[in-house]
Amino acid sequence: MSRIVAGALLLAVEPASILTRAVLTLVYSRMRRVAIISSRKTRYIVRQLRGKRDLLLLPDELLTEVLKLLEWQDILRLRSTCLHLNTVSKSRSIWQTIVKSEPPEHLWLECPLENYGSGQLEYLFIRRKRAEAGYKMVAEGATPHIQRWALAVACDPRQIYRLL
Amino acid sequence: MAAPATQQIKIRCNDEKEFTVDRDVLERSVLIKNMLEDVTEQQDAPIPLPNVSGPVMAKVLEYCTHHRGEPLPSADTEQSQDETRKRTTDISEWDQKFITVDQEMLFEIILAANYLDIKSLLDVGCKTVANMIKGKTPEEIRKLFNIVNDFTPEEEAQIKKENEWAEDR
Repeated sequence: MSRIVAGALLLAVEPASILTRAVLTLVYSRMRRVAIISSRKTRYIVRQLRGKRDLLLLPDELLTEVLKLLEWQDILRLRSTCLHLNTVSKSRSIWQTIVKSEPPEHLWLECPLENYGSGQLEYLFIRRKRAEAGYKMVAEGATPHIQRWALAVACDPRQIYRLL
Repeated sequence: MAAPATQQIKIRCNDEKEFTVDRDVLERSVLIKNMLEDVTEQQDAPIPLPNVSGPVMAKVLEYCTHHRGEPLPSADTEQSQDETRKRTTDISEWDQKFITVDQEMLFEIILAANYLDIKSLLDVGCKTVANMIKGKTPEEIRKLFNIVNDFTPEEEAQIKKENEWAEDR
């Protein structure tokens, strides 16, 4: 009898507590988000007020010029330093420079390079690099023909048809 | 346009500091070169440069004096360079020594070179910053440039996950 009462009591209480917890989590994450965003703004203003020149106060077009001189690994690493550099590292001109440094036959273009957006350019290049990385692990010791084939398929599975 | 090379030009920086410089040295700056070409009569009033301070201008003039007489890159060569762009970050020995300054001065020089339109000096500055970043971990880069990590833990984990495959390549 007491067990049934306890069960009923739990049923009555539990949904409410789940709901409360969900609401509290939501409110908490919102608050944290707002706090982080406003502290970003404050930090930028403080930097400006301090009057000292530093990397983050360079105008975006100059930052882009700097980033164009880096290797792609450096850009990916730079991406995890802070939000501002993360945003700038996605500019199209940077990835266009990087993609142009790669032999075009490596990229399996489907239309002229100019038609690709910044995200697509980046994807194109990263896809190739990821494929190279993954394939290096499995294709060691294979014949050059198999290696080329494995790399192409790793880049883009649709290449299977072109190469068979 | 063919002015005598000995012509002296006065410039005034934003902190009232004035410099008197040979015209051909100042013409390394495309901004000032264009200004001088627009002015037909001899003027005694100094050219105001509201975006550059005295100490930075002194440094910029040091660079311009060393490189005076070298051909200016035309828009044409710039275009072809961009097309077959080889992303080299080599800096000549003199430039390397010249640009060995503290970070604040380095960024001041970059901004001044951009404003004054001195392509070669801007290149040296950008290459220097790029060389500072090359091969460093995110944490090292943050420390070097005094950057505060402003990602949420979730965002950071996400970026790390996206990019971890690229390490040791």
